[in-house]
Amino acid sequence: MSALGNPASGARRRAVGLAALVAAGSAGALLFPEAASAHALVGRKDLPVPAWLFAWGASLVLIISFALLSVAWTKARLQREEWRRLPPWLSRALLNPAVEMVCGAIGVGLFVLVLYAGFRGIEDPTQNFSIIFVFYTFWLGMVVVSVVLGDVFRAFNPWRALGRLVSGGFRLVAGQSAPVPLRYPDRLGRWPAVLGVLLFVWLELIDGGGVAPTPQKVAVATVIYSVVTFVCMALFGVERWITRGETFNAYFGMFSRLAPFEARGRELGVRKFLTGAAQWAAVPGAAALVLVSIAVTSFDGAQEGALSGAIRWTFERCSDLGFSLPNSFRVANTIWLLIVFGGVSLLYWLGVQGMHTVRGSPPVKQLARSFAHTLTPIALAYLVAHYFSAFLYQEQAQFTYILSDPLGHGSDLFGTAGGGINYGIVSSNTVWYVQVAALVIGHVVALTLAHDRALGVYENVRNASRSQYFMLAVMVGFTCFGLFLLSQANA
Amino acid sequence: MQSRAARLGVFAAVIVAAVVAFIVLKNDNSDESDSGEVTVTRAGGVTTTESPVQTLSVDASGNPVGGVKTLTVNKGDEVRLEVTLARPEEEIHVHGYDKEAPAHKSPVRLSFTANLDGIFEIEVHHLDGTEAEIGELRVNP
Repeated sequence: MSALGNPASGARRRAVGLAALVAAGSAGALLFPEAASAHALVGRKDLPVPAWLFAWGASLVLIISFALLSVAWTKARLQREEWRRLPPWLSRALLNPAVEMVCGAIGVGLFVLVLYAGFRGIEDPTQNFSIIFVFYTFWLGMVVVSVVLGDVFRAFNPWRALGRLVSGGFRLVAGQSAPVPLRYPDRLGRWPAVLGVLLFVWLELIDGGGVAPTPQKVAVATVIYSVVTFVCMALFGVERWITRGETFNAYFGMFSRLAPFEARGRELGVRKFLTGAAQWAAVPGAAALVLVSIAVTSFDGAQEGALSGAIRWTFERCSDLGFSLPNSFRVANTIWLLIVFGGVSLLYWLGVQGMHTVRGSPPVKQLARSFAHTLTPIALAYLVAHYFSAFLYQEQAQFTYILSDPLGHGSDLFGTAGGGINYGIVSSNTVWYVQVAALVIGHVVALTLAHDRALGVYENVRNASRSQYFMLAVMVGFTCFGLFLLSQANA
Repeated sequence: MQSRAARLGVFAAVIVAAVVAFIVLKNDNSDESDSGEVTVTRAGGVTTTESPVQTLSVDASGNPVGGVKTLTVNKGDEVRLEVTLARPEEEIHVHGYDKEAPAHKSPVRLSFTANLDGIFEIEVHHLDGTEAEIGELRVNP
């Protein structure tokens, strides 16, 4: 399914897309290797990071870690969020009802286009707007935007825009605010988003049974998710559900805490670098949300690399049990996705248990929550390391032939339909350096956040430093695991 | 205050030393691997004046004989691919390079210069519109 870059032969591509459906449905023809490697949408895969770079990346991580610990600043500096107002004219220009309405309308417009392209567009995932937009431009691109500019997605969130439109209409007709029948349970926290991320990635990597998800499936999934979101917004209130339960707002919101900008009400402000993350994790499920995003990225990287043997073995056992081939693929991959999530969580849990042995520790649960935000830079580093090259390729498609021909029906709206992907845009060397640099920088930032948080949690510097030997082990573990995945294969 | 400045100094020195060590040793390493590559190319150059033909074969049900094979070449090499077929197929397709050759008759020959590093799928497109991966082209930088 990874045939990208030759948009001219639309008819054949459509046949290929149809064939993929048939192939996914009919068990006989496909053997596991073909099925397993066919899911990638990208025509050029990264070469594994060479051993010497892997070794140097890992050593650098250790050296920096110990250097950082030896300096061990003795006062917490990042615990209080220092938020400063930007000039009022800027807030007025960017955060007014008119701009909000335009942003909401753009979000809803793209949402409708995803549905329309999904149901009416070409079946070939590589030629359909809905696939490239949802899995690359939106899912990966919005992370980049969030990290740089803050919680921009809230303004474009189509579900929020529609929810506000409905509640605004209600107020107009009934003369009072729409009632909120249920209080959002505090214990639920960010857990709905954890489930949402798992299901989203399941749709992307597993549901196809070895081939890329079809645009129709993505559209159907979007409809189902929208119904759930509308019901929950009606039950718990629009803003409440969007902030806590809505998967994408919670997910992008997590990364936006690393950004220097934040809007409060209608006021725009900047904060000191990295001071935004500390408050984010105080909600149940926050740790799970960071861990699940590390886990799904790891799984995507390992599916055809480090874990391919294990997945194949499980696949064979499943088909021995009488499952059809696509179902065996689904079961085997689901099991391993959950194992990776479990393993990633276990590593963090061990670190927390270790910290708990230090005198003056808060209870384990509170400790786990207190340090959850320190893993967001690692989650971000994993994303950059695994998707940097694929994102560069797919965005070329997004802004050439997908832009001009979103449905794949041969239209040329902006005269860019003849464009394609230049896979030569980055050399393997560049990709490797970006991957390793992302992991090393993410590691340093994570370690800094953890050290600072420890100074806030523990009474004296000595105990704080002692607790950090355990978090250091966790961070080194995650970074070296990330490097290891890249040294195997990255697909 | 002074001790903190000293600590920061030590920290900065360690970082600088690590970065310098990294760059120096990286260059050493890449020199080594470069010389390694040269000998490989030389060995290749000795055995044949033109690059060897890489073969793949597809069985009567349209699947690769002996599973998906990895063909490894260095960037800049001439790739000469020969695919034998047990039945007529639609075409052979190399991803990324987007090289296609009609596959109604066996063997199918494809040749091109590997000017892009990375890993690329080689596929057979069957007459019924389905496709199967038959090989993987790995181009080392």
